[in-house]
This record gives sequence, C-alpha cells and structure tokens, in this order.
Amino acid sequence: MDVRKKFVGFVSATILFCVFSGCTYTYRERVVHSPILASNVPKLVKGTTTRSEVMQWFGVPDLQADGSRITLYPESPMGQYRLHGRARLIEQQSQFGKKGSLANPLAIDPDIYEKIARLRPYSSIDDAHVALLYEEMYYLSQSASRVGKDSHLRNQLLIFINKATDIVDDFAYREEFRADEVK
Amino acid sequence: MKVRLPITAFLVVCAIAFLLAGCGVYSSSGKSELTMGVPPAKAVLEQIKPGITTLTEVLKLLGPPEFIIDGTQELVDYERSSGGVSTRTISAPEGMVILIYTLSLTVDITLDLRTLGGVTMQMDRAIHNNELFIFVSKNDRMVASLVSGRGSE
Repeated sequence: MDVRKKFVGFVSATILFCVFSGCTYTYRERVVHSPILASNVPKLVKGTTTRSEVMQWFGVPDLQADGSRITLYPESPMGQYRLHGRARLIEQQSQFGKKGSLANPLAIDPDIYEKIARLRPYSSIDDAHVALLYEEMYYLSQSASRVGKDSHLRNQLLIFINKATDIVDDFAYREEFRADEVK
Repeated sequence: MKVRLPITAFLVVCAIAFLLAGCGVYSSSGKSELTMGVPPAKAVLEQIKPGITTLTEVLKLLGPPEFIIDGTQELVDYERSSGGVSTRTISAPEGMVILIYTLSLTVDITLDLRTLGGVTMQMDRAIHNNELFIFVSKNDRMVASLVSGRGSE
C-alpha cells in the first residue's frame, strides 16, 4: 500500500511539475558527410590536388556547377536529406488529407525541397572551371513552454576545378559547427 | 476500498493537471526565433575593397557564397518558419557574376492562442535578414563593387 501511495505521489508530482514549469523540448538534426568535410580539408592544395583525389576524399558533391549549369546529386547527404524530407511531407499531407496554411504547418508543399534545390543558382564563374559544393547541416530546435529558439548552421566547401587540367584551382571552406562534436 | 482511494486520487490529480495544461496551451502566447549561420565580423567585411580584393581573397575571408548568380536567375527563399516559398529575380551585369552571402537571418514568430469566444489564433512573423552582394568581374576575377542589403518584413 505504501508503495502504491508513493507511486501515485511520484506520478502526480511529475505531472504537476511538467504543467507548472513547462517541458523543454529539444530537437536535433544533423546531416554530414562520411568522413566529415573538416577531416580532409587540410589535404587540399591549390594547383596540386586532382579531381579524382577530391572525389576520393569528399565523395559525391551536393551540387556541381559547370558554368551556370547545375547538377544535383540525390545520393549525396544533402540530397538524401531532401528526399527524406519530401517523403515525410507527402506522408503527413496524406494523413491530414488537405493542404494547410500557417494554421496547419504540417501540410507544406511536398515539392518544396525539389523547388529549392532546383532553383538554387550557382555558377563556376566561367566556362573553364567546374564548381563542386559540399554541404553539412546542423539544425537545433529548443523550446520551453512559450519560447522557442532554432538555429540552422552549415559547413560549406566550395572547390573550383580547372576543366583543362582537372586540378583544383581554388577552394573555400566555412565551418559554422564542429561536425565531430555534435551528435 | 483501500485500493480505490489512491487510484481515484491519482485520476483527480491527472484531471486537474490535464485541465491546467489545456488552459495553458489555449491561452498562451509564445515567441520563436530562428537564426541561420554565424555572421562574419565587421572587420572582415571591411577588408573587401572594390578594385583591390580578388575572388580568391573573398573566398578566403567569407568562405563559399550562398549563391553565385551568372546572367539573370530566379532566387528562391525558403521560409522555414511558415513553410512558404518566395522568389525574386536577380540579374548580374554583363561580364560579371554576383556572389551572395547571407550575413544573418533571424525569424521571429509570435503566436497568440486564446479561448475566449472560441479558439482564435494569431501569428505575427518578422524576418530580419542582412545580405551582401559582391560583384566580381569574370575577366580579372576582381571585386567590382559590393552592396549590403538589409531587409525585414
């Protein structure tokens, strides 16, 4: 009997604590390359690194621009993320059975990921180069009962390859989060 | 009887908690904030000078741009907060490309839900964005000009 009372007291206290303090909800989403971009960036050398070495170290790029002609790779991590996001949205829409608005944020245009990816203008500056863009993403959403804070961070690696020589002419890397530290 | 009492007490507590939680949800107002990226320091931006700075130096200072516009292209902004998409058309001058950097983007959403006279909902959204357009000459790969745009709605 004492055990039962203790149990009831514990459950009641937990519920009341949640009601009055407000539950904190944290959501994390991480899309990274394997191995992570940062691990191979130091190996890049302008005028020396070849295209095959780039592909070997970083794998398939998320986006390739030849002049202003863009190729997207669905097998890349960001490509897979977009495909899964689209599948998730279609499933949600079919469950709710209708398109929504601000009042129903679950029902978003299911083609949104494709539209964004397709209409992302990128150029290799000139016809003599090909640009390869690699991206990693970390999305963190934290919400207490009435306050929400979301942050969207990305690591991006851009490599310009000379088409005539297949050698890296230029590259740039920006790191907004440590992919090896966040889970 | 001995068993019923704690169960009844538990159910009563649950019911009260449920009611309180319900009231809390339907009469609450909340604020959500979305930030994207880590904005570069002002000192870094001041190092980019038209006619002096090269594309390589820009890439070294700021990293890869969000977009590179060559010719006339449509740019899609995905508003994660609302799930909406807005588009704008941007044209690069002949012989130039535009590098677009999103220096900072913050979306504030204020949600107000009330039960008085039925459930009503009001959502206010404010977008504060700060973009940098860098015009680069295709011939010498030199920065021709740069424009910082601030926008909010």
